[in-house]
Amino acid sequence: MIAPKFDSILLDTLRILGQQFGDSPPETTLIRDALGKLVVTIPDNAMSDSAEWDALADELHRALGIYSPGSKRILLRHSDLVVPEDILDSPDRVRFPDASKTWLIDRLQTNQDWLRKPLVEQPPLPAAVAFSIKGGVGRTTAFALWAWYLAKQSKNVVLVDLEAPGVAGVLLDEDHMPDYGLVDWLVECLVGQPNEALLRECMVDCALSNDEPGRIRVLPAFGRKTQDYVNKLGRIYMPTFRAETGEFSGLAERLLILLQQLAGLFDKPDAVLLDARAGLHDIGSAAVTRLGAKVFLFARDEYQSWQAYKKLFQHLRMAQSVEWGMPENDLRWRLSMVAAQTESTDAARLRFVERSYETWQEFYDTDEIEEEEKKKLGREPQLFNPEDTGPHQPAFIGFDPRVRSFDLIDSQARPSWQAVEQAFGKFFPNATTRLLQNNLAQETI
Amino acid sequence: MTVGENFADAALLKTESRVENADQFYGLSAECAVKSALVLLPAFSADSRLDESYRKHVNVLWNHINLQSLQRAYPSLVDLLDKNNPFEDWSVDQRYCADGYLSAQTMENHRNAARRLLGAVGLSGVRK
Repeated sequence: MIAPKFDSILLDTLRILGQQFGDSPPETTLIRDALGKLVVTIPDNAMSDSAEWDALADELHRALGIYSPGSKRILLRHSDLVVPEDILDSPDRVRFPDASKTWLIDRLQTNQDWLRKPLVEQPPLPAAVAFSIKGGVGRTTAFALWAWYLAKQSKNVVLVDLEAPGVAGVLLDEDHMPDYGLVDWLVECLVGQPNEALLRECMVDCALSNDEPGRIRVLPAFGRKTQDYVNKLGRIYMPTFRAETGEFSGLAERLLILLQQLAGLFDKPDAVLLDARAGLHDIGSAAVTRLGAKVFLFARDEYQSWQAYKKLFQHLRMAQSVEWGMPENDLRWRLSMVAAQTESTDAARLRFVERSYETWQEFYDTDEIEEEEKKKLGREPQLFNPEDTGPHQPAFIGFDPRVRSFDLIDSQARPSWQAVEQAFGKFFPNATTRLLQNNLAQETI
Repeated sequence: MTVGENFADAALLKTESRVENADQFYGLSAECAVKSALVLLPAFSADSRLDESYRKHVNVLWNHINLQSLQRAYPSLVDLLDKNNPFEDWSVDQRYCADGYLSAQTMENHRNAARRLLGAVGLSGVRK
């Protein structure tokens, strides 16, 4: 017998359950632990006598091999669960898309946040996240220049570095860094003492807005006095237990506290721009899916990026905030593509839209849904054509070799605003409209 | 008896208002939850046998664990155990105490603590 592999476990389990229950499966929750071992729980009335339970459990146990936690643990009635509500109402219980009436709880060591609901529907301040699946696509420069645009529009913005090097490297020289940075704030947050005084020590005004009616403040990943940066970085993801709420907090909850603290300042910003780390990482998952922020997904038109976005979208399809029919608070309305460093030809733009649309097919609704389910939801599928306005429809940033050499720190060497506008086109006004609008589904860039 | 049965029996006794007995089971559930993690880690065990020094009841065990050794495998457990020991006022002998020895609030605190520990070590249950 071939030893079962991680990839076959869920399918084998569903096949065995299908053989047992045929066309009318009971509501099924699959719990997969960090090592991949699986527990199946179904209602007590799914089978009548205990011999049936034992037989099904034995079959699952044999089929799953090393991925079975044992024949007594692999199949549980709801009443066998130690704390049923911890499983059946778990924030990590998501619909399993390829089987009806089936849910999955996947216990991960990292990247757990992608599928969780946002902590808030609306962040305490308008917030935008720059995310890219690959680095080097101009994400940081775009957000730094967008902040400049906002300052020109009399807006007061805070740029937050969720990684280093990030926007601080583009906007601040070494002598003008604040004393501390985000990692310092986050480690104090771990022990419940991130106060306003510390927050102010972590931010600094940026000279780029000196001659503008608005204000740019930068909150870098670390400051001049930050010590033990790597040691702090290794702590910021730690789950901490808050006795007051009885809940665990992670990076996402702490970033929300940061936004709340910024919103509580007497000189609070009009908006916060967060530059998230590239790639499938806890920083990305916390910022993209949990803060209620508008998210700009940067991509260049290249095979590796689309492949990786497909993987992310296949995963996000199961997110708790993704629902068939795309209701107004659906995660997908918060996301929009940015075509980075694109040649300014119609052919290049068209090709980008096609690839983006094709990639988004992994994430958009399909009209393959049972009539009964459709009636229950009371919604029609949200279907898009390639030319439609929708999350796949990108904002274009032109490829301009000068952008890489833009020096925003030295006021003498700074590019003219005209040169910036030439490269970025309508990205800034469109992104600003999106950032400041409340209705997610109303308009995309 | 398994950890799942301890917790379930505690819940049953709670519904029957046998507070002292129920509370004893919550403490034992918590103890089993912690030991189920320790027994898998070489810092606490050898050949899946818990080291003698950790064969204690939860009220004592709680304060005897080197949390650093749990960090990688059970990050959530670390912060829970780092908080004040909620079983300081628990005793394995308390089911022999008179009715009314424990308040409902004390039992609820123990129940919540046990539940969180079970969640942190990822124990779902066992089939009866």
